[in-house]
Amino acid sequence: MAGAIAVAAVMLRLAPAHAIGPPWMLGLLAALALVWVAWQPSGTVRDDVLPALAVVLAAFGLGMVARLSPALAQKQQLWILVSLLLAIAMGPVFTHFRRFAAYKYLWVVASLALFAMLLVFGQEVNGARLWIRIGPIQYEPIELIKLFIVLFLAAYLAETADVIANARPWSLRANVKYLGPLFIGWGASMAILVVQRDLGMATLLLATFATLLFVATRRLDIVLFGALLFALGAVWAVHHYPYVQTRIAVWRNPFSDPLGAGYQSSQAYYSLAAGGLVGSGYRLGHPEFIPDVATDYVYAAVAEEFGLIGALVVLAIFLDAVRRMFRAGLEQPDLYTKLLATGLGATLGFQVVIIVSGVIGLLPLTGITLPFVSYGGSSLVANFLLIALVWAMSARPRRNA
Amino acid sequence: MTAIFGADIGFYRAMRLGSLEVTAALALVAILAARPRVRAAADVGSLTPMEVQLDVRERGARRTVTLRPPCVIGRTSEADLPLRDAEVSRRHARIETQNGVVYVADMGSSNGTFLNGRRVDDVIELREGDEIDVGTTRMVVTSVRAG
Repeated sequence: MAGAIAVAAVMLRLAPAHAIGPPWMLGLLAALALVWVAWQPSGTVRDDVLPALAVVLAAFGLGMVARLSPALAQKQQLWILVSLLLAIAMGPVFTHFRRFAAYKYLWVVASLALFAMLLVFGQEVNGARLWIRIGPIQYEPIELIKLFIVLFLAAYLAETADVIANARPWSLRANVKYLGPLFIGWGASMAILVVQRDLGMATLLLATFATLLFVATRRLDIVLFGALLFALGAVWAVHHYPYVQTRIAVWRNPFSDPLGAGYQSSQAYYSLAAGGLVGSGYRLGHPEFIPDVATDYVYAAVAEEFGLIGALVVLAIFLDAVRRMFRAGLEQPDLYTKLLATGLGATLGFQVVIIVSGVIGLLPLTGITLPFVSYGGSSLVANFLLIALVWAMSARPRRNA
Repeated sequence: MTAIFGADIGFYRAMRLGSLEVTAALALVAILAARPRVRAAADVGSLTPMEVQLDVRERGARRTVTLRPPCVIGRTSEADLPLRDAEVSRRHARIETQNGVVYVADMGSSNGTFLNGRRVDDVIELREGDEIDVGTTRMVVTSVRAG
């Protein structure tokens, strides 16, 4: 962790002074990061590199946001503070994460409650209704719902995986009995996501769901069935939502309308091209021509200023983090923990894949954040909690005293 | 001449070098974090088949069963060790194995699983002579060996 803070200092030393700080604020953040890792139950061995990676990525992101928008960087800094405080506060709770399995339907209820709040108090931004406003704070509950759904799926599958795995594919009764709750929980969230028109998060949840189901049961037929359902949903969305049509048209040919719908995307391609191998250098490029660069397109800004090498290094850090999360699961003997770690790792990994593919043009762009790096308080809080949870799960299993 | 096209050369140089330093620092993080933790990769998640022998004392009757973890203990007939005990949940507890060690884990049962009289709320290693209590049934671990 000390190493992580040193790397953060190297990064933030270059940032424009008016965008971050005051210095005591950065010192406070560093101190909190140290407290986070130092404060764990005695006698446990945990994977301390995992929180360190989160801190490095968050510091790097703060540096990028500071360079793109000083006003957002000030807010981002406060969100990092909140995230660290929450991660520290939840530490003792996460230590007993195995008890979460007993409350699995609570997570479904909590997700539905958040969705209901969204429907009642939600604010519409860019055609999608994603935000709840509480006083001066805007929060995007889907980021938390993402965690809740993994918590539910892992607990449910840990109990029923062997039954689902052994059910014959053509036995309707066995399949409906155990898959029913899964598809109700999942289908409800998918339906509401389509209603919310947040296809990025819908894709992310589906990918996580399919991964968990496959890892737990090795039933490829269910996974293919789910993918087929999603494909039908996606086709329906393309036909009914003009904004999805625009996204796909822009993806297929960003230069057909370079000053209109394709402006953001084509500017991002110019950024990627301008970066080249080693990049233009921090604060020397011009990623600010891309609209919404600090949230959706931060990866294009990274690629412009740190080049292909810098962009790949950032991806390598994400890869390390995901690998460590999977490993935390593999080292645990019980199925629930294995599945939970797999699910949480898959969530983080797929989120990176979906947004980075969107930026570089492999997939149509969907407005989700690059974890830790993008500007966005909801995403920071949820992802810090995710890392804190997996960090607690990486503790070695207790020997019999 | 410190300025070309309005940009300060000193600033340019500082940022150019600084960016390379940042990339190098991040690359160092990525490489160090890729190093596996403590043990060799082959040791992680390895499936050593294990065999656990339990002496089950169920409503006065005694029987000896041999289980190959992972397996489920519960009231349902689909469990690997089905118990006819009304205080046992349908899917009560699991016996797991990892790297040649056998563990017991509760599956969120209503009445709990107890190991040597202490409630199991996470995963705990099983050794020979341990007593597992579920509902009114007591199981004594008579042997744990590779099988």
